[in-house]
Amino acid sequence: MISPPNSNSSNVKLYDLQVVVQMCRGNDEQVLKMVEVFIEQISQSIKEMETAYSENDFLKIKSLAHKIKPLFTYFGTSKLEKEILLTEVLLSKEVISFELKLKITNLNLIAREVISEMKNDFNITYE
Amino acid sequence: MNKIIKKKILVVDDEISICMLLQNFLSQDYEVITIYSALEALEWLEGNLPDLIISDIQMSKMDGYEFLTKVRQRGFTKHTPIVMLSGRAESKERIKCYRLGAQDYLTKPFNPEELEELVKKNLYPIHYAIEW
Repeated sequence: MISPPNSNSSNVKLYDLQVVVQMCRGNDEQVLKMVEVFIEQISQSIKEMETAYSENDFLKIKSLAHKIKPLFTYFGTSKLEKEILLTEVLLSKEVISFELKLKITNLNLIAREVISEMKNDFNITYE
Repeated sequence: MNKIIKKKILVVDDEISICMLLQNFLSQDYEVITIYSALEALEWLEGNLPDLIISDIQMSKMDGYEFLTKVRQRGFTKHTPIVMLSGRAESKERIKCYRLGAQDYLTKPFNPEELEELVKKNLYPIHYAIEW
């Protein structure tokens, strides 16, 4: 597997790009583009989930969760994957609950950790 | 010198990263066109004919079912193979797609190798069978 430029292999990573590297045929430039798009998309989607929660838009939260779930698998972000599965269990109850709000907050926190690690590993400096 | 004409695959998905992954993965062997909405894809199909269509189901404005139905209603694309992508693994979703005319159905997140085989199977059905 291709390691990101600043990767510290002694730490347990919050993501694993094995599938992304496979799908990019090992092209480093394309892998970097994929990481950048992932960062942007995940940040945006979680922000939209928070807004949807504040607007009691249950269907929107469900749709966003459904959309981002496969990305967590492709990017090997197992903590996010686990969290989104738990969020989907709550969503299956079809009610807006405080528990759901906590789950979305938690998703946001884990996503920030993953994004921070990716940005550091790939020398991505923008906000 | 003979120029190899690559088979043309249309990918329709409103998720940019999925489109990019598919483009990166398939463009080595195929010409890949990615379009982020079913409506735009239908417009594109007015003047173009792909050899295979890969389409997501859950899309805004027009979903994959409606897109599939419209593609099948059009003369030129009536027999174009279509592989549907979905985050849902339930058999009723697959059955609905097959009844509307899809050749195959792949659940996201899919294994890239499985996608590769499905693409080959649909683009080269006879050759694929002979390899058995």
